[in-house]
Amino acid sequence: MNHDRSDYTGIEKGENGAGFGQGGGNRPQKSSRNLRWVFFAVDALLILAIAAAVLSLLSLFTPFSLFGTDKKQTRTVTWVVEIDNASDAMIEALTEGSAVTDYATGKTLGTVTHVEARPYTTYTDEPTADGHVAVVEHETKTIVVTLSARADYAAGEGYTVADERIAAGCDYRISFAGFVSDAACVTVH
Amino acid sequence: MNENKKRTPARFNFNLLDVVIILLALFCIVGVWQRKNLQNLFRSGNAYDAYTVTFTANGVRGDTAALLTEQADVWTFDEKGTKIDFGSLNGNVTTEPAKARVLNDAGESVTVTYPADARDLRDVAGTLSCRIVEKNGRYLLDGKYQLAVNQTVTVHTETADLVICITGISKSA
Repeated sequence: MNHDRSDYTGIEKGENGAGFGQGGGNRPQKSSRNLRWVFFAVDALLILAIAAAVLSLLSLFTPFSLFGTDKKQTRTVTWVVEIDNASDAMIEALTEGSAVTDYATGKTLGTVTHVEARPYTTYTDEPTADGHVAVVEHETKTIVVTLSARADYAAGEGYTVADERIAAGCDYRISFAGFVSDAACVTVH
Repeated sequence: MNENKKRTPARFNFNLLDVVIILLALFCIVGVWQRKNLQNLFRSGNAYDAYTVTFTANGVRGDTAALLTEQADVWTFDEKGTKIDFGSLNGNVTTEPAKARVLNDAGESVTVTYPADARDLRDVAGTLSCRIVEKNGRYLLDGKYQLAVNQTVTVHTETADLVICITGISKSA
């Protein structure tokens, strides 16, 4: 019987050591190679799909992020708090370089880098002649304290110092040099 | 000769199963890409649409208003404390001196502005780009947190917390 070896696939190549295309034409060899690439492509597609599904499930049900956007960084944050109705003694106690701590936890919220004071004022329910809300000036002061701290920063979340979110509009109960006071954050740099 | 009989010509049979597997793989990839829409689809039976939400915030400190910059991500928390992505700011907010209604000496209610002092209180207006599901006339942020005009919401950005009042909800063009 005269067998044309070109009828067989490349699977046989390893069996007898003779490759295709030796005298019998190379069409089956090409077909075999194409076939192999199709299998590779399908396998790769399947692996990609499974990997994507697993990563997606991980990002949905665990703190792991698919795109790594919630990775925390450590940054220096400068923030300004105001203390209303403050005494002169409090102003003197707030010196540059001194630490301000969270009253409840005792953890350091930042180091004082700048202190300003202005008269403490409140608004009334009465109008002035020029169409403004009337202001009452008190004997006490409003202290404007600039603080600097190393903070945890996460994109889309912001800054955290000593487990406290640092953001304008947040209120804090702070202590410094034996004083305790309420303070409101007015800006973050 | 027997050896040759055992050899069978291999042919690539691209059958229906292969097509199904390839289609499933493609659907998986698309599913991962569009996972949030799919989540919402399964949860509420609707898909997200792009909406523009207009808001005001009264009596905001000038320093705080300056932190509300274009593209800032905004979020809130539901009653269970779960973070809800609100959207992002469309452009910078507009501000004007904060107004108040007070009674004058004649007992009439008049509108006055807060003085331009150190607090620099401002009335803020802005727009947010949001992804909202509209279902039975209800606007659901993230598919579950209801938004409505006149609603006040405490919102957060990376650097500021404030209370906004929603003044309008409309589908983006």
